[in-house]
Amino acid sequence: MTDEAVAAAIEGLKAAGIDFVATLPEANLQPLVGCIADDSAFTWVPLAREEEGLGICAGAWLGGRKTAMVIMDAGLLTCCTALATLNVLAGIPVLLLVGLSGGLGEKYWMHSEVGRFTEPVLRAMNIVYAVCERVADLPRCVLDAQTLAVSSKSPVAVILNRECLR
Amino acid sequence: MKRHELLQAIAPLLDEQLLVVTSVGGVRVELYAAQPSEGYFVSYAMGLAAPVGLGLALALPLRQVLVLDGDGALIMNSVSLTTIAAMRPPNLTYVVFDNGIYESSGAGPTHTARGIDARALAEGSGIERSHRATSAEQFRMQVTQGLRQSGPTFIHAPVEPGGWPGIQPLPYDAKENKYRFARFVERLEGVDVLGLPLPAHLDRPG
Repeated sequence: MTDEAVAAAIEGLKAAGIDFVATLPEANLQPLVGCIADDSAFTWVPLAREEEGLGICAGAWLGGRKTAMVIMDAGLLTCCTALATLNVLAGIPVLLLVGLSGGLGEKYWMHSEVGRFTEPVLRAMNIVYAVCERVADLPRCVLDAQTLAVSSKSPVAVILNRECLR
Repeated sequence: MKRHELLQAIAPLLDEQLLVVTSVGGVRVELYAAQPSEGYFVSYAMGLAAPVGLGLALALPLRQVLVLDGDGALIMNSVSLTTIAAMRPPNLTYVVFDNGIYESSGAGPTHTARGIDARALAEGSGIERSHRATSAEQFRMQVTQGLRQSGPTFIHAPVEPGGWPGIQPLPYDAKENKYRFARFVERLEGVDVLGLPLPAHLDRPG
């Protein structure tokens, strides 16, 4: 991610009141993860696997915190059961910032397949999401997603496309 | 030694100052029968009770958090032992009742029935303070210590299979459990969890 995209994501997270972020490293997301790790406004939890992040964020939310996860789409796909049996079943919000792999401009064949499952899976799980197409839209997109997550007590996803990740 | 006997042994410790997270399965109903409280949250996502407890402990660092889990759930998500060890929450005590079977789902053997040592798994993952309970009294003392000393603490409690005869099901579902627990935390900690009521300009009758 560019410095501009990282700053836009951080601006959105802070405007949304997010104070607890769980992350899993990935090359494109790493600049954002590094900024979150270094920013005292966030309690930062580095994860071993995305699925546990939903549990950790659920516990933090029950403790009064505003939570987000920063993960790639491959990690989101590992989270389907946890989303269904924890967040959706109990009605526990979490903001999901999800990097999209594949799509136009993808150079690496090993990343070309997962991305095409991401939106259909979110739709099948009835999880509201928005694809952020431009860096300039990122702060508002993050804020609006968190507003809905809190009011609906549901997971809501913001998908970061190649323009936001490059 | 049965799981419900150990829960009855720690019932005096389950006061209104403690937050407890349990996994799905017999432990959630046996806990409620041993000592009812609004301060229990059930993770119906198998394997995620420990992460939920970790999140609570990190969010509320001055509050003691107790996780009551099973061996099947531990094996399903044993990576969280490493995350607990890495984050080192001083206020988290993690108990695994180990009956060697998936008791709620057909009673097939878990890996602990094939020699995998849950305590060694915790120690190898980096959790420095760990215990193994061989009696109800020892278990009560280990939980007491875990709730008083700086942790995280892991307690491996081998138990015989079998539940509490005649026990009643929990009187609420996951959503009601969430609301009860969140209200309990709000009263206990003075924090806003649920974000209700609506803003005043939206909350008018009619």
